[in-house]
Amino acid sequence: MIRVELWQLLRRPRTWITIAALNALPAVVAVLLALTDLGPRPGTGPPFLSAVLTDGTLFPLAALGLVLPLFLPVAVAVVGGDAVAGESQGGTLRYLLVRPVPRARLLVAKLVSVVAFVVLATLAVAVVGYVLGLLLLGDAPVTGTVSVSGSTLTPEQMYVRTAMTFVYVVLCMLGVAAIALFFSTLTESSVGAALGTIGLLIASTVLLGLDAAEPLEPYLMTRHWLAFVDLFRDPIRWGDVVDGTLTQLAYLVVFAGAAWANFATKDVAR
Amino acid sequence: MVPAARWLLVLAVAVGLVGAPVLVRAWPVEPSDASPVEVAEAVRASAGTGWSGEVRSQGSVEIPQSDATLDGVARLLGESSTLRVWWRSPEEYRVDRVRPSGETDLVRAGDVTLRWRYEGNRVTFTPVSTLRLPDDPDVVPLALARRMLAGADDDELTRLPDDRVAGRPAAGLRLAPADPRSTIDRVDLWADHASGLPLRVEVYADDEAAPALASEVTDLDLRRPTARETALDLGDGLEYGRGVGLGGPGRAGGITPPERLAGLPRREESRESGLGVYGRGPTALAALPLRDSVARGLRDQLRQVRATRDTGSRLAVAFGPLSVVLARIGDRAYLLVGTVTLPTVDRAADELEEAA
Repeated sequence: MIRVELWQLLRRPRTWITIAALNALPAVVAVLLALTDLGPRPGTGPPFLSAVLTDGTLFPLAALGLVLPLFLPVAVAVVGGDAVAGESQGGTLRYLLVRPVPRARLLVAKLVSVVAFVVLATLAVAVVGYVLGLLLLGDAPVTGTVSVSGSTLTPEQMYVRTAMTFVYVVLCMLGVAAIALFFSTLTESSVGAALGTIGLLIASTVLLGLDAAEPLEPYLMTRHWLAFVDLFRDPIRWGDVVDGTLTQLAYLVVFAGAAWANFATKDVAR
Repeated sequence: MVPAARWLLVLAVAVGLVGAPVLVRAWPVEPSDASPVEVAEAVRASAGTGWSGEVRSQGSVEIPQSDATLDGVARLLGESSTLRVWWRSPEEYRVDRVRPSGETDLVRAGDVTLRWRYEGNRVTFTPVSTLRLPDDPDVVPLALARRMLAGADDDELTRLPDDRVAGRPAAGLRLAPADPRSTIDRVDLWADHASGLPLRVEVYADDEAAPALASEVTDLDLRRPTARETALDLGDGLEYGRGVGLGGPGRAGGITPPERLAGLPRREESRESGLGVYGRGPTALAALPLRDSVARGLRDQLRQVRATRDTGSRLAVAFGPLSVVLARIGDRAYLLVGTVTLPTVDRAADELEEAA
């Protein structure tokens, strides 16, 4: 069943259109930076964007920083929201459930399919960012890449830390995927499920900026998303990265559990 | 499993995940029976304790920013900061101010401080001086608590209930300055039971319910950091510069600082450096001669503040508990700043004029 879901994901044009759209913003930014040579003032703008003019190898990180706060979670919300509600809306869910397969397994297959999309989309942004950075913004300085703490990172250290960033960004999207899947079991409207997920993301972002909501901060889904910058400090600052990972896993467990609790005995009309 | 049982299971997991950290924080602390004076002594004795960890500070004093002299103070006392700390001794430490997309690292190695700023790709060396404005290391609870308790009388101290800070039991202590010239109402601090290391400090201005400045260790490792950990491993291709201090040549600006200013006694440690730092604990006042370039920037900054009293030769304003007077005395600009009332700072400026 998982193989079927993955195959469906890969052969849908919508998957590739969404991934292409995700890469559009970093591509436009790379072209503009290359043409104008005008980066954001140091300390402003998305992480690493001010440094890419002198070191194009940092552009995959800047590209992830560009799409992570909004575009990537919206894409995951759309794909996750469609997972069950899309079948229901299209009238195919009933036929899926006729097969002698437990509902929980179907749900796991749907979740794996959404996670596969997250991996694919994140990998595409990183790879396209790397290629654009090399082609348009140039190589790393001969003295090496300067970490956020001023030390020099060797190419090997950069590869390892960029790989850790990739894994972390994927982890950050697991919570979004689980919430979208849960909403997808609640409604027959894919759009409704996606909007519900995006609404929660916006609420989390708004609360993060509010001093009065400080006690809630450790529990907010978006609180640690940009903590991947800490992987490029020296020594690495693990605290927020670990907290961010645990927070996402907690969201995954609770909302995937809620999706299972709701879907296991849900009446399916279509 | 019936639907209700499934939902109950999910609810139990959610409550467990949300409640576990709250439960750990709220776990009661076995109270320490140390007297207020003993807690204060333990804090003073912890000066040489080596440790590393993270500190979160939150200031609520509003000082306008304009890329001028008081900007560092404005950031320190008016914003929240996250600091990574490696502390070997008061003369050897590294404090990194962490920002979402960058950081500023400050290393003190004996008589020199080195500052690295990621966004500027620049390293600055500055000789350590008593003549300086507060900086990131000054809000680390250890440094802040020692400064507040310096010269505190025993009858100004009372115990507060113990609390758990950074996962460790900590003894509470309150310092309520008896001097009516102080703009600080009270200082509450919590020190680690085992080491006496201050873990949380809250400084309250007069008539304020929220602290003007709060600083708390959020992550603590009591292992003494190695010298390598407190050093910066800087790569090639960076810009290097030399920092400019506040004061000009002659440090005290040609005036021998009086033994008392506005009735406040001169501090011993300032006597060695020839500077004027007065008072005790949170009732403190400093009189600093400024370089002309520094004084010009500060004058422009203060004139932008509506509440500033401008008499031509003197600018005076209070930012919360911080009173500031910039005065021209003889041919030199002086900054008088402290956590005492504005009339007290004014009186100090008058006396300094007479001394000149």
